[in-house]
Amino acid sequence: MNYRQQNANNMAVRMLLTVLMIILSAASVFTSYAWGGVIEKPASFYVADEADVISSGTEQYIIEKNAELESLCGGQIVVVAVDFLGGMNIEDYAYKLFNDWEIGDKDKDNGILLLLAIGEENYWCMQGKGLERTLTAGDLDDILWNYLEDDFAAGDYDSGVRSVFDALYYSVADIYGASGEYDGSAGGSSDYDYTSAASGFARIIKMVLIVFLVLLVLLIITSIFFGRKNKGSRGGGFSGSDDGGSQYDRSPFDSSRRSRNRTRPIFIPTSRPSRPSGSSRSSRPSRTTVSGSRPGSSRSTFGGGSRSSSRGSGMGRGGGGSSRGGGAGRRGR
Amino acid sequence: MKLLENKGLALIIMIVLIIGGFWLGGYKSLAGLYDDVEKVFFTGEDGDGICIENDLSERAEAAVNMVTVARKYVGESNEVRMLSDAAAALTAAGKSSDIADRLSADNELETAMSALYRSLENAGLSEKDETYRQRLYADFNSRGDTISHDPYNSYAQSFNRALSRFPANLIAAVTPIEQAVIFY
Repeated sequence: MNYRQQNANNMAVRMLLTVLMIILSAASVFTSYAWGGVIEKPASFYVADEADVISSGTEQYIIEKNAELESLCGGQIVVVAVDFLGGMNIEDYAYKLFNDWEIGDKDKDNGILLLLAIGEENYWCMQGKGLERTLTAGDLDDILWNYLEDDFAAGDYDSGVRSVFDALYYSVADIYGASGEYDGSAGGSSDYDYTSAASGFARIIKMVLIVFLVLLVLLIITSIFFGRKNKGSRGGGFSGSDDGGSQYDRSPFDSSRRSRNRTRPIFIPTSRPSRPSGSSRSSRPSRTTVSGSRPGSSRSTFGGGSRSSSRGSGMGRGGGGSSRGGGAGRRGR
Repeated sequence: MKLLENKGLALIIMIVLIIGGFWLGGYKSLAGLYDDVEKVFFTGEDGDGICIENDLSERAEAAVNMVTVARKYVGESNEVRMLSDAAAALTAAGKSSDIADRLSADNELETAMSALYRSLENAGLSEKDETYRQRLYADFNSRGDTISHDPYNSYAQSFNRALSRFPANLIAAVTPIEQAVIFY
């Protein structure tokens, strides 16, 4: 009898523990969607893929490029993909996340957050307050439209993230005058000339001509002063960068305002075909609110995506940066 | 002199002086608090110029640029006139120190900007001008977002809470001190 009683007691304890575990697991899933809560920082910091839409290769790429960017200027570009926002407005969510995670350098406030809400068919990009003037909401809007929107609409989130991350990376690197590597060929469908209109080929010709001229001048100088006995001195190097400023002034129709001379590379990720030229691109549809309407998506399931685990090396943390909010996104106004 | 020797009168004078002193001190204190709140609005929490006043100015600028783009295609349409007037009103409000006027003007500007943005959708803009339209709208809205997060709103809410408590509420009832405007 005692044996039976003991068995019954053990069974009851086991059942109680099982129920408790189920309750605790459910609570841990739901807390991340609690009203006003944002997801927690992952170990890798730079990428949090709760929605499980970013490949491990892209995650590793983001981590590595962030390490480079951080050593260059303290900047950080954090990519977060969640299924839902827990009832929060996406800009509010991004604002809270940005400041909770302290993205970017503490003094320069040069962080960027790219937030994707997959289940809500929405995204948002927010910059730190140190970048508000050099990487405006208008700039971010352009970048998102040109490098993320098509892939996002098609459900190819990984490609979209990779492409837009590169655009953001080179934008920030350019602001700090870094000579990052990029494909200099013209591409994209943006009508904004962020660099001069010269193609890659024209830049090579320009380089060759300048080197030739420098050599010619040196040759003339040496022949004047030293005669034929002297060899020409070595030529100088070309360290020029693309010139040409943005055609978009802060106030483009008021010429008395200060113009913002900005050099920005046009690039295409090397593994990606060129986008079609502007004339064949359909005109931008009106922005409509995305809440409540969910166009067809290739994703078959929502919710409960696995939490991002750092599949690559690199532990990062917030640099103490902050944002005043704002930025640009997909939602309608 | 005999009048002053009257105990009753002396008591009344004393009470009046105490109440008067209390009222005056309270008023000065509240006015000082309100000045601090206003300072955040006009110069920023750190006095660095990153403030709502500056954001409003940039919104007005974006609106003016949008009007310039729009005029090339729709002339002086209703939406163009509305936005142009709203931008002018916000600029005019900027000449006073009244925050409530600015809020009112900014709300009008928001409505007018959205209306013009939508009306230009099928106006046959060139690709370049379409890009301008989107960028200006993004800049405009972004400034609206930063305004909603500005620390001024926390200061204003704290001030309003203090104003609603006793005895500040009594002092405010008989003085020109009003609640601080919240910019959402």
